Amino acid sequence: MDTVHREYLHPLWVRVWHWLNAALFFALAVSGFSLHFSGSAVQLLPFRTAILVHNASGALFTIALILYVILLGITGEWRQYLGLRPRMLTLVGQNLRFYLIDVFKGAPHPESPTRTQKFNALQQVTYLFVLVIGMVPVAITGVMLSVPETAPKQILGAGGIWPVAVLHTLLAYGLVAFFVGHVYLTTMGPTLWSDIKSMFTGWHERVHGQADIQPQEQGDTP
Amino acid sequence: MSGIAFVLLLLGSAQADTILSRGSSNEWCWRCHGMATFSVLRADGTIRTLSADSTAFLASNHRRLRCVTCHSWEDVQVFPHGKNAHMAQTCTDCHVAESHPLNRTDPLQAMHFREITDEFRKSVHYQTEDHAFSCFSCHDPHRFRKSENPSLQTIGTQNGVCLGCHGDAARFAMLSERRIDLSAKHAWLPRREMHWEHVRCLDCHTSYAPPNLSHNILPADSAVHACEQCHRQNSILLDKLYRYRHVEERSRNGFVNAALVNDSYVIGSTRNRYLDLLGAVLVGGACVGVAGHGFGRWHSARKKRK
Repeated sequence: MDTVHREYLHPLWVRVWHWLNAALFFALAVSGFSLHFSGSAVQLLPFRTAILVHNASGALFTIALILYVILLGITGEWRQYLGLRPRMLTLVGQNLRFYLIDVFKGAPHPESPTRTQKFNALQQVTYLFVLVIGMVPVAITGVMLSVPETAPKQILGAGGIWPVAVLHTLLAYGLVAFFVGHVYLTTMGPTLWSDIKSMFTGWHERVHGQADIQPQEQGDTP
Repeated sequence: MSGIAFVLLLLGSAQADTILSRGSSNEWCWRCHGMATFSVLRADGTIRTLSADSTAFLASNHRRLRCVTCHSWEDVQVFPHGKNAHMAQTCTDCHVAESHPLNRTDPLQAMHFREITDEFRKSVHYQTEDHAFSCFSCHDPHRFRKSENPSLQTIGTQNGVCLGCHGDAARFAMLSERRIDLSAKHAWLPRREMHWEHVRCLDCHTSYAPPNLSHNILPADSAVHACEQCHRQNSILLDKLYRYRHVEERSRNGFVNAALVNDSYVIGSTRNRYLDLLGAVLVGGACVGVAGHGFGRWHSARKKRK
């Protein structure tokens, strides 16, 4: 008989930040699209509404991000992003192989989440990059566009706002692409909805003997 | 006392002689009119300034003109000058003449003074003030420079012309019974000061109807109020504020360079097609990848079930 193993992965503050972030991200994407493509045939929000929504959501997003980074430091959760693990590159390779090949064969996931290591190696690298070269820069450039006095006057001889705006837009495109993949990958837990459910409850449920394999059960080669 | 008057009379005579002998030399005019405080007290107690900024004049488009090209020689050569010495000609005396060298055939270089005159006569200034309003109410021929690429400095200078009356409550009160509060009138405008710094008053307050030469000043309630008129890919600013800039920059730097080096940013308008293409590839690629992956999972699960 299969046993259900429950692991508490996501503390309340992480869950609150996550869903607040998700809502703000959606609002920013919709309003940002409306601003960038204003005057187009497809207008999701009127320009003035989009300005208000984008500014308010952007301010909340930035405050929430600062609080999140502070709490990562205070609680030690930063190790989820920066904690080194043995054979990191091999594990990243194993996860990539799983998502690109093995999943179609019904193979089990190469890693299972634990309280101290809830991200698999690929997730850890991806989320670190998304946080450091995605969310933080998009917030900084957003602040620069909201308060243009904080933007550089000139970059490489050209006006400073334009490059900041280009970078902000590029990062936004990248984050939307990540968002699409992120939402899709939530369906790759033990069941279709289990990852979404765990982000509400904090508990990750894993059925022994069905899918997940503990890291110590793996061999050295994928 | 009479002795002093005699000396002044002698000086005046000497001055008149010199003006006559020097004739058209601008330098001689600047000796008096270049003094910043050179002015006379009118009978009604107001001060009439008779000075002009020689530095600004030498930087203006009119710098090669002699003073007497525009100021009546008949009135200038006597001292004190005759009543009409200050204004013997107007802009259109030179600029609408078909033979004038400035009336070129290149549509971007042509001076369009006939069309400008037509626009001006439709403007709220001319309609309400009629003949009290002239070219010189806004344009000082002693410092006039052709519009250049819209830099913050040139935008500020041009807006300064409007603010000379509309931003000066005391001066505006002399022109109109209305009271004006620019801050309150523009309270609806997001980031009001930034708009004022980066866009000319003319860009919202003049007609865009052809020939669109920014001289048909509209009543305040007909000004541009819809954000999307500027904040869109085909921004109306491209037909006014950036009208010359894009063409000039493209001819100088090439299209791609002009797009890359363009230091202005207007939300919704400053789009780079390559950036949007890259965005479409990123987001579209993610969607296609996810759809393909999802289909693959569904297909393999189905096969497994069979």
